[in-house]
Amino acid sequence: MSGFIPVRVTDIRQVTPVIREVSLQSLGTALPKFSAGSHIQVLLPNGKRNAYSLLSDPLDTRHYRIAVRHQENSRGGSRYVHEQLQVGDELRIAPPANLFPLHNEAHLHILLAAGIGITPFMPYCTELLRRGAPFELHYAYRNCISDAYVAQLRDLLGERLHCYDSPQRRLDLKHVLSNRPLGSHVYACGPQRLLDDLHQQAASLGWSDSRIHSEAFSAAQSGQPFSVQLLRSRQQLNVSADQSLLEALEAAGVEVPNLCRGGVCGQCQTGYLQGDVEHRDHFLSPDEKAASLMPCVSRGCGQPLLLDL
Amino acid sequence: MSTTTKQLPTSVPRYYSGEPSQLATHHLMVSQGRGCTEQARICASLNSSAVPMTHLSLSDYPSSAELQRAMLSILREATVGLRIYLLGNEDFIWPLHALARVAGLQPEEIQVIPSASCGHAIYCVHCSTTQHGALDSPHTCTECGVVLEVRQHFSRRLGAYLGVCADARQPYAQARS
Repeated sequence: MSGFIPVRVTDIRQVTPVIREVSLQSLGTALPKFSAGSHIQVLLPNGKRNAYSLLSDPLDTRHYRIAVRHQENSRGGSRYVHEQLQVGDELRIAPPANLFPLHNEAHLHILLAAGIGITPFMPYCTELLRRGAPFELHYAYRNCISDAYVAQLRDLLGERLHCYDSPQRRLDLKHVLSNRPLGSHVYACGPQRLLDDLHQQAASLGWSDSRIHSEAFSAAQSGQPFSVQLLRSRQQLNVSADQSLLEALEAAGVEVPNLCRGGVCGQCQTGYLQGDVEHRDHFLSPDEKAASLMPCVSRGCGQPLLLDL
Repeated sequence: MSTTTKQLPTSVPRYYSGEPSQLATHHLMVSQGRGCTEQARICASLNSSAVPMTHLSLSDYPSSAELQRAMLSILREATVGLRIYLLGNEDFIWPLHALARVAGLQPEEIQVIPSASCGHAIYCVHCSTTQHGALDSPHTCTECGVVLEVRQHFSRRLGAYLGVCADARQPYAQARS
């Protein structure tokens, strides 16, 4: 993995009661430009390392901005950002990577955001406005809780913005997807339930899969502690309840390539020879799960794990 | 030399059966001719599916250009859910495929069903003419007379396999002994 970039926190803004926006400035040279939909990994001083979508203008190389929702079942990442992170703190980030890019062939971009799922669409809107490309944003949120950037988006987008203030007004996927011109593509970011509903509704209206692009909220969840043995480096590691296997490997100095840290990109696929796995990823096929696991989200259970590392 | 489907280079198109898509909300069939058995079968199965079907046939238009215009005006008004079925020679269906892609259809929403009868289209890279012939033997260009080796290199833009001079020592027709 390419080198980490040292950054300083230059601003922290409470956007809603549960969402904080953090601005980061490079300590060295300019930050890399990125493509809309990119995320960065943030290495927090407490050892947690999470991926967050970039909010800022893709061409802004002075600052990156991310927004973090306070998770009730936080393993320490979002809680740290909300309770301990201060302006002036120095952090390290990984360079941007994009698992949710714009589809350049589309004639009409239909963006669906739920709650904090608005984040990748902030640079989408900047970029699509710059290109003059036809698009619309459908944004479902809870008023005064997860309604980040609504006023700003209303000014920026005018009639392109469609708001669904839950539970008064529900996002009607059938209405959004019906009678759309041939070059339409839909992009969704939100909880898994929204993505499942989208796939089901789109299929029933004749949308093929290649028109549907989605990004799940994906992060490791806690579980039971377990232990693993590493075959090649002859180590034994204990993984605590609120630590992911990937974090435990990194703490022991075992680098595994990774991008999303949420079980979707497939980068950290690791073989195992023995043991029982609680698979929590959205990447591996049932066949692959017999010999591989995704250490960013999946955990050992039952018989101890022996990893091919 | 025998080649299985697995060994074909990625530029060589694979063709499928022409079964109507179960997801479609509308079918559009565009055919070069009328009446061949394969076409009749697909037409019948599209007609019997639960969603509407439109059929354009080259025989109803004065030229390919007029047929393409008619297809484009349908695609301009069409909505997501349309599936399109292109039947005819490879040099008839692939330019239509390109138009459908530009109009916003995804590759899996387009079925190309070549007619088996008239061989494959071969494009002579020396005189830029497209002609029909077999893929497995040298082909003498009907226009410039060069003996062409037909490469396993298919141009989707032209709807033809590229034919290149088979013997570099005999680059012209008149040099053949």
